[in-house]
Amino acid sequence: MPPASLTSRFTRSSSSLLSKLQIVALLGLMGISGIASDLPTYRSLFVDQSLRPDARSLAAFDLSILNPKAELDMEPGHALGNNYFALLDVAHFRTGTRAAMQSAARQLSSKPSASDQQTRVIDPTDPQWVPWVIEALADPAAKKGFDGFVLSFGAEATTPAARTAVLSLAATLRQRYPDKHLLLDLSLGLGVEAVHVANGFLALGVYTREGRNGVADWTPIVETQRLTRLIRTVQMQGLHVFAVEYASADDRTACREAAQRLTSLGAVPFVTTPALNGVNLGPLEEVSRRVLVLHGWDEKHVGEKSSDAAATLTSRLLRQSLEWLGCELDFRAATGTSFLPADHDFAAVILDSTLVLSAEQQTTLAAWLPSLRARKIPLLLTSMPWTDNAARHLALQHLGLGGSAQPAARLVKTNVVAMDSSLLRVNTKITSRSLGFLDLTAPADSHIVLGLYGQDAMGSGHRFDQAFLTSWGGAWIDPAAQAASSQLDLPAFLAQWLGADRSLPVPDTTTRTGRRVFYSHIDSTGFSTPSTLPGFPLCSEVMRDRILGRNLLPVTVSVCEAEMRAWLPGQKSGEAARLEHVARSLFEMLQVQAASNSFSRPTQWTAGIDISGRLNDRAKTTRHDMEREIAGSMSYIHRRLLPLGKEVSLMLWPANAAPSAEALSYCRAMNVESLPATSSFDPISSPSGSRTPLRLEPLALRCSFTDVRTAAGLASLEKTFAACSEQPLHTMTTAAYAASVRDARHTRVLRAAADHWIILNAGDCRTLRLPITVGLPDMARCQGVSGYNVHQGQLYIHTMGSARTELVLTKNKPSQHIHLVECSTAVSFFELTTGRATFQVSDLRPVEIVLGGFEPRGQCAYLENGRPYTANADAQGIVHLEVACSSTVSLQSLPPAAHAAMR
Amino acid sequence: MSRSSRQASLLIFSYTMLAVAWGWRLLANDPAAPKENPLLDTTRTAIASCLAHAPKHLQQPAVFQLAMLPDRELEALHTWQKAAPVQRLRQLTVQQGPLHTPCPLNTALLFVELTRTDAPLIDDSRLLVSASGDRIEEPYKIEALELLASQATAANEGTLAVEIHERACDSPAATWQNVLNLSEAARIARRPAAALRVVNEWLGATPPRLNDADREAALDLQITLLLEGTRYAEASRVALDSLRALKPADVIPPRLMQRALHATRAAGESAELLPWIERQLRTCPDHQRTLKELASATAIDPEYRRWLNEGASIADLNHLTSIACELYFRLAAIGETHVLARLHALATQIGRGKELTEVLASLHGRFSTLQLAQALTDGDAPAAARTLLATHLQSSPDDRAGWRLLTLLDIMLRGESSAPMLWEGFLKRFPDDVPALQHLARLQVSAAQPSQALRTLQSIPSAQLDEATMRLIAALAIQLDDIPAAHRAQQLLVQSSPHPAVSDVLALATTTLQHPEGGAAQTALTNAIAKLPAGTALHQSLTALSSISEATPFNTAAKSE
Repeated sequence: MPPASLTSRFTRSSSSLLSKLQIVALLGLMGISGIASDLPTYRSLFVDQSLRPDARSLAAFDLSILNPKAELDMEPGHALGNNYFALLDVAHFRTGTRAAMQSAARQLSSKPSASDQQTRVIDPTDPQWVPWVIEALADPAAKKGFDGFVLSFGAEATTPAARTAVLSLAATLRQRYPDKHLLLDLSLGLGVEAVHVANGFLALGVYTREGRNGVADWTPIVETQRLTRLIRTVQMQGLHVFAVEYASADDRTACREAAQRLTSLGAVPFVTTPALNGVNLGPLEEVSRRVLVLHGWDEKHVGEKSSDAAATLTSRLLRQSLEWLGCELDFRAATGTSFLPADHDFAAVILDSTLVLSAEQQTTLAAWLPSLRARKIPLLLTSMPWTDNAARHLALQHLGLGGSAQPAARLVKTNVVAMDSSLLRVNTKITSRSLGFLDLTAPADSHIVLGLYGQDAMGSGHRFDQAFLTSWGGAWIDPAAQAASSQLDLPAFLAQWLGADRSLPVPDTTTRTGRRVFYSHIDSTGFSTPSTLPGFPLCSEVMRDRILGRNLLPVTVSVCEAEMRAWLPGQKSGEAARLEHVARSLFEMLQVQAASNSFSRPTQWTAGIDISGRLNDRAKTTRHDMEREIAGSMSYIHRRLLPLGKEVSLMLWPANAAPSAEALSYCRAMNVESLPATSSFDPISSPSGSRTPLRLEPLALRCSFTDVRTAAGLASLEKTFAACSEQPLHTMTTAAYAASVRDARHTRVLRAAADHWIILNAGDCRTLRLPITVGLPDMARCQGVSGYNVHQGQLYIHTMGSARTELVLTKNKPSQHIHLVECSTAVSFFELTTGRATFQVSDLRPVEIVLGGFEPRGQCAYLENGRPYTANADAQGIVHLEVACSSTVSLQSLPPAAHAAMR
Repeated sequence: MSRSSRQASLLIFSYTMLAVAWGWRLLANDPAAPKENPLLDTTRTAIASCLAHAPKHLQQPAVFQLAMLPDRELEALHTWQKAAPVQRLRQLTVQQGPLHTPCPLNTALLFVELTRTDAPLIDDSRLLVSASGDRIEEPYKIEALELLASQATAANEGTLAVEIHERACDSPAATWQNVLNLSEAARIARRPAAALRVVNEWLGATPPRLNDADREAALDLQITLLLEGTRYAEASRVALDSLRALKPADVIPPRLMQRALHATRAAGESAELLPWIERQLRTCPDHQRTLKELASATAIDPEYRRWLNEGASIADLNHLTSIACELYFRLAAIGETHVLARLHALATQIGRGKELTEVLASLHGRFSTLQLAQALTDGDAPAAARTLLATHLQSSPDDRAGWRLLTLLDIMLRGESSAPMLWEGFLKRFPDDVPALQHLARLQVSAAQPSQALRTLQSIPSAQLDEATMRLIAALAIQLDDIPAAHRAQQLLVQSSPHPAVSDVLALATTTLQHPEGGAAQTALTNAIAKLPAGTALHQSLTALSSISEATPFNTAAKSE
């Protein structure tokens, strides 16, 4: 069925009174009563007629109406309470399909469609029509697990006889599948007569329809009036109406208006494109987290390959702050004339300082600027990419910039003339550098963060607004930024640049259950190196006996296969047994997880060639490629070194080479997490000078076996581990942290209302962050939220790890509800209500847990593994518990002891 | 008719009858051509083609047998072919089958059946093969079981694979290779105990089932399996018992010592092995030598060196100071400098400083003082290294490497905070030392002293600047807004490469704009642009920009007027 055909409608006259009476009589005879009230209360609708709907989109909606042939796993959605209906086109079949064969077998009368030669239109009055629909369409859909059906004739006009047949079909379906729900396409022309057989109606295009070239167009007013009348009529009969409107993906205002129109009609709305291929335009608005970074150059223009994304200013200096602000960076090299993206589905645009454009590209970029401004997409200039006079003139015009925007040469004096210290780093001397000084002034309404004045040798003065924020975004043009540390408080500056209204829940990987995340891993370097301690034990033995054996913090230990097998140059054959034994004894420790540090620590990760490092003559391996390095080494560790029940959970890339894209995707394909052995952030981007202290990174203890070679190194590491053990942290394995980072990147955020958000992810990233100014979660209305806490002006929300989390915020004092404040380990809730909670925790150390939402100075009666205890809440209704390593706790909020006694 | 004519007629009749009789007889004796049965031919062809999946060594005898197979058995095979896979396998192993068994064709068909895609479950197959009795010859039964075990391993059925291997090893026809295969499967399934049981059985078999070489391998395997099963104490006990079983005059087998070392170390009982190591050492001629003799010896037995090392380590690890010190002395005497640091610590502790001095003196012939000091440093004995080096530097004040090491030792002893001062001291003595200058600059950068760091790096001659240093100079100069210095560094960076990066040339262009000496800077930029790929739009625009920039002062002058 061509999906677009569902939208164009013919005006139909209503059926005759006689036919209605016939139908009612027929239904009366069949003994079917009204069923509209059976339908659950769906709050959100999604319609997608593509064959492969996005599973994560489906999680967001209560009801999804899909193509009956769609490939999807309904189980996760069903677990969330979502329903899936199959949209059955009962008037058509395509030649050569199974449905066509079944129609031929039943000798169903049909005729060719006027619009599509491969489609045939069926005569619904044929006595074989109902059995055919059941056999060819309904039964396969029911077998797939759909929760209901939507009957539609597509673009086909209906006759009274056809409508009678549809009612008969609906009645048969009701009898055959009493547990499934049934909707009718409103364009069938049926109304009150369907009240006994259907649960509701689906209106595909009330005010809009598919116009020419597949774009949305207005429906004729007469048709709209007819449909709205029909909707009101069926609603009066208690039937539910689900309505779809069409809009352009680029026009956010039109989408909002379309959703508003349907909502005012009392229908459950969904706004999409006429293609009906799963584009969600409202009323649940997806907030884009994508920040487009234009960088590099065209090889033809410059004569050299464009630089990597990792070499950009954005990657080096802005990435950490932007990711903390919830942005997902999308680097796009300026290659070719069509280097700009076709869509505008991004939250902001950065023109990186590495951008070198040809005159033609500069003009294209300048002409693109108004489209950003129209859509209120903020732009950040980190350099002046327009060197061509005409293009520069155009860009300055669009951006409202003053000055020549050209370098001011040979300055003899520069000084700071304007600055906003609230957006500059504290304890940093603000200097005015002549390097990269531009003759550039910000638009009149701008907020100048750093303005410079320069005087050249001839005494002429120039103004350079180096950093400013304005209506279209802002600029931060500092050529010295990569050499010296930034003078700006980047998180604060970028937050303002993105817009004050961008207070959306951000997936946060630094915090879990209210505490800073701790993870630790050991690089395999030095595993077989003798230490300088008495008796020269191996560094790995020292690490095992002196560090890991005395701590219960989770540590991921990586080993290199060639080193374990004594296949590296200089290793003796007899070493292998000892090394493998040490590795086995390490992996037997409960707190130790296994990771591969590759087969031979190659210096590059190119796919399809031999990349292995140097090996000695005893090495017995025929393969030296990327797969051998990754999968081969993991297989070795799994087979030879790990105890039963443990598995290799991580690929820890060796420090000597950055993994290639192929290597990363190979790990993803194997479903193995990967992480670099060193931190990926540049030290000069460190936000130490930030005005408000921010938690930008988890606490990561990265070390190698070499670190314990000497007594001093050992003492230092012992001290570090001891310090970490004493801190209130949430400990997790490195693989779990890597999974949370990956999941955070793919997390999607939808705005249901001003303070109502839906967050979709795989459940590996379980913390959301918002500024405290947005209010607090209303726990009673949230779904999938276990609690929250506030730290340094940020609200950290703990989720339960389900595919969909609904977050409802309130600026008033939220109603009393038990919630998790913080915990030293992961908490699995079985029950979480206003006054009761049941959860399970498991760790190697006793678990510290803080819960809120109790009555001030009230009591908390709890059972820990079946044993009763009582704890007292403080004045804020907070209870601190310490439970055993592995506990199941059931607790109840009770009034203060005095009140209880009086009662 | 006359009598003669009657006789002649009778004669002719008689001969005719005789001829007919002979003709009939001859015809009757000619065997009729066998009636061709197309069904049997099809069966034979089908069986022959499927035999290609049997192991190669079974194919030929099976094909021969198939060619000579009587029709009755061929018909039975035809019926057998039509049965379900489990039934077919059952008939080949435990039930009355199509063939007289044991025979090559039956065995080959068994292997074919086991490797079919629709073969019965591995667990069922192994039960049938195990129960086949004398229908399958024992070596082939083991081979079939090993095949099933490998299939189980491939299907991640580790435990099942181990069980099948165990069954194969229970056979009297099992070989040592079968036990090794069991061990490998047991390792994969993390069930070393299963393999250990069989290995122990083989080791204790009477009469012995292993030759000398395999027995040693079995003993090694026994210890390995015990350790893999975390039975460290038992491994240690087994190894030490073997040692104790030796007669005092016996030579300790090297593999036994190796096993014992491995096991006792894992069990944390390495001290138990020390007497045996000492006994081993006593058997070495080198052990009879004095320290002086050892120091002057030209060749040392590698085994002696090895066990001396192991003994010293074990003694040191177990705080047997005097033994450790004694062995370390011998090691030091034979040139094992990595033990010097530990030797220094122990000898000082037990008052054998004089001997230490003598040993160090004896080493001076073979190693320089710097090498010995370095060895002490590497062994985490900086104080001892410093003492040694300081004495040496009094007599050799121009030894740059020595002073460098001394500086590093002082940093180790005094702490990182004193490093800049110490490097400055070194540079007063050797002002042109590039690594020291680089080191000092890095320290100054870390200490947020960019101007000092820039000055330090600028004192390095241009010819000795590497790329990283040039980039650091440029970054520091930009940070300090020192345009000439930044320009100079960028210029050197571009000059040092035949194909400079575009970003470097652009950076040079940016610094050129602010350079107070326009002419020279502009020339440098023009030269740099000339190195870029010619003919590109960027090259042209930079060339044009460069020529405009040269005229900039005049333009500015005109503007101000």
